[in-house]
Amino acid sequence: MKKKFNLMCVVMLIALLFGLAVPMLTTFATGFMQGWDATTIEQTVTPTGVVSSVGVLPKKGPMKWSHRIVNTKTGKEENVQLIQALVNAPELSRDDHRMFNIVMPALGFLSLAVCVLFLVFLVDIILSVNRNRIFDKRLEQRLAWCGWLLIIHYAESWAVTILNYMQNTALYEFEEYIVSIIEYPHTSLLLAGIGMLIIGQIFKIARQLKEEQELTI
Amino acid sequence: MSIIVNVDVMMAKRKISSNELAEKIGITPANLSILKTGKAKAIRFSTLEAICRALDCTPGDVLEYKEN
Repeated sequence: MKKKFNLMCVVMLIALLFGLAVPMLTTFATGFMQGWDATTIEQTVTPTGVVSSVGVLPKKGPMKWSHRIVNTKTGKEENVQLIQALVNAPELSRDDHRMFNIVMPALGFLSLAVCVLFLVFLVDIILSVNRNRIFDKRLEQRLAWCGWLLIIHYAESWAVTILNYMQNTALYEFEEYIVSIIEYPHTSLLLAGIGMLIIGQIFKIARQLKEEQELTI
Repeated sequence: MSIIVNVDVMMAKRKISSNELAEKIGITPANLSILKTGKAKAIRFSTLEAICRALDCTPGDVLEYKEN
């Protein structure tokens, strides 16, 4: 009876770990390759000062095809429009914006704590169902916790996005581009959080109905 | 709860024990205890009929309404 449930839970946990691990592994691999290249290839520019990933939009008019790049498949130059740039500003220093240096790592730790707690509560829910503790207040509390953790994670994503934008606007003002937000947080996290809160309420109603049924003589 | 179950009063009048009544009605002594102590949320008509038959009384003899 619980085989399908356990199988779905295992698939969900694998998907969760995959979603968390892939960006980390990609970042690690990219960093490793860049570090390796730094030791083997002569660098024309050694990044110093501040290196930031900045979203950009053309200041006036429609898309500004201001750059050209060779397409080796056709041998022709293609028009290129910047929407995101990795900027190195050797003269700048993040020490002038200490608030970001404190808040950003704090948000990083919060994100990590939220992810760990969520996984712990999720495993607890799976174990509770396997032990037939379905109509239990503890399960309702765990579902509510998971819901709120997802909502907190969504809020934290927004905080990081806005702080990144504020930091970039404090550091940069380009001639032909305006600084913009690279990527907005997905509402799927918020929807999943609210969904789990709703499911927790459904379990609460089910428990109350069961108690009423048991106390019907 | 505003509905009070006076089964124990009728049981004393008819001089019948809890186990005997539970067996006559067809419910467990535990469920009869839940009924007597007022913890029950609902009672089936079939159970009420069985109680009235066993105690030779009417529903009004075993159920009473008192405003809280």
